[in-house]
Amino acid sequence: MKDVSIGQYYPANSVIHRLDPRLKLVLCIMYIVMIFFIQTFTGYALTAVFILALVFISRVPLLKVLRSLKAIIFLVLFTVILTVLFFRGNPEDLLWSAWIIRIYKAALINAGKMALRIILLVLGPTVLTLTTTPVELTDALERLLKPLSYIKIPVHELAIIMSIALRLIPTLVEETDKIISAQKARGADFESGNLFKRAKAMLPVLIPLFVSSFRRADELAYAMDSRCYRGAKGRTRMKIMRLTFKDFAAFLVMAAFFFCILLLRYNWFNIGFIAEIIARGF
Amino acid sequence: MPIIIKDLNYVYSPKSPYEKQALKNINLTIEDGDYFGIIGHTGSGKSTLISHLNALTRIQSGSITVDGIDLKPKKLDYKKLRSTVGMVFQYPEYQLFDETVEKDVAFGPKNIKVPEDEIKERVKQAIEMVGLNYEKFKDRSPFELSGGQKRRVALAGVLAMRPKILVLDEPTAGLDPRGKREILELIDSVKSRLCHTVIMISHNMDEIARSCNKIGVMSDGELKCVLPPKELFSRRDLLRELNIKMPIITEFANMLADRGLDVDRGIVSEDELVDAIVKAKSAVGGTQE
Repeated sequence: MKDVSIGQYYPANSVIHRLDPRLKLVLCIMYIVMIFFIQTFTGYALTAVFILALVFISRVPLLKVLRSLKAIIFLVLFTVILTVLFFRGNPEDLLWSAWIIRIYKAALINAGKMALRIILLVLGPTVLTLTTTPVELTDALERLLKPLSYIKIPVHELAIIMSIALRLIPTLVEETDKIISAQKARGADFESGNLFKRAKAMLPVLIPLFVSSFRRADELAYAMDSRCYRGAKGRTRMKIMRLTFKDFAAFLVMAAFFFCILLLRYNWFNIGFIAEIIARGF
Repeated sequence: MPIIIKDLNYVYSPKSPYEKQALKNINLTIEDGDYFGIIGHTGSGKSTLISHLNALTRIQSGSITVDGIDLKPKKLDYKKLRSTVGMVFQYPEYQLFDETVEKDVAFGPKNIKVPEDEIKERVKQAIEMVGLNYEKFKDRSPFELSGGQKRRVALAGVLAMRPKILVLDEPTAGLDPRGKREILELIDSVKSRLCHTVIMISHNMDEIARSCNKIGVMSDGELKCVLPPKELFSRRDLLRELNIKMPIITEFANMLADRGLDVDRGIVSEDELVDAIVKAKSAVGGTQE
């Protein structure tokens, strides 16, 4: 139970860590959008090199990054298998068939692209969360969504709810551990019986957990109140986020890369031949 | 039968960067009838040690026998073990969950399959043993009680399982001085009536000195020594080395001794100190006359 971590922040001293979190969030969104413009293996390969370079610069161990792929391994497999099984292409493309299963060459290529797309898609946000603390992220989100507060959306309140929730996750995990131990010591059995029985056995854990969560929420509210917390109005920040030169540089790099991907895709200025050359090189 | 711990080691998150050896070669025997105190600073391994005693933490290496039950095998009769060793955690009131005090106290006995008619009897006895009026409290919700009462109910929940060995992790934490004294007196009476052996973790040296007949000192995962309170608290060098405070009474006795009064430096109880002062004073008076 102790290993549960929602924020997977990996502390290190790198340029990527020091970038403005707002910018990182924007870049991450750009990256995700960009992935959907890629259609060739060349594009995927370039993007893979790009993201690996980012990981390298961020000084996060590669293994740590790849670990996040564990969560989507089933999704990838599922997608690949379904694509391969249900794809119906040209009869002349047929590679292998038996019973109702027909496997086409185009299906394999499609499945490969799909898998690459999902994997690359996940890697972007992974790098973001590994190099940005959850608090920075919520702050960044709050700043970026600030325009919405003009149409009466309580952006600040939502952000503070989110940061409090993030803050309390480890505390609750610890508390759950303690209560489970205490009830086990009273002979509670969480391991045997059918699903229904087990769900019922969790009741003596959940009720104390709810009770203490309410108590904690109450106490926190008092503590905030006694320090004159009044919501967003007139509230200043201790850490003011400022864009610096390195943020502009990072943005330029990302924009340039995006541009290259677009060039490859749409053959602007008729330089798609470069892509051809690269593709042959592979 | 005694609790015998041999060569116990425990490592948290082995083979990871967070690896930490929480227990190092613990050898300890706790005899029947002992009131065993465990002291040590936060993170010294006290809680890890006691959670081994009813197999909430399983043995990694070494061996433990509790009341004749070997805790080593993978398959254990947990119900029997947990009704033998009653464990009261820090702030036990946070584990209360049921609608009424009676139902909550009955949770333990029910789990260990005590027959229905005996449960009622046990619950009544346990609630009265912790100094609450059964008729008055049985139908109340545990959540509407005061802090001290909640703790008593939680304690009753463990006592209703009729354990032979009672293990307490800081039973008086967060109570006012009077509540602390009441809980300690309660544990004394439980010890004489139900649980012959009591093991208590505490940060409060006065409590430990007052209650226990043996004290184990933990530091950095090691069991540094096991001594009776009088001996432990009279050894100033050891206390300094292990960074342990003296009970207030002992400190007072030491200050008197430093000023030249003839009192024993290992005194741990008020009564003894008063006697010693009277004796020393009359001896001084005697020579003056």
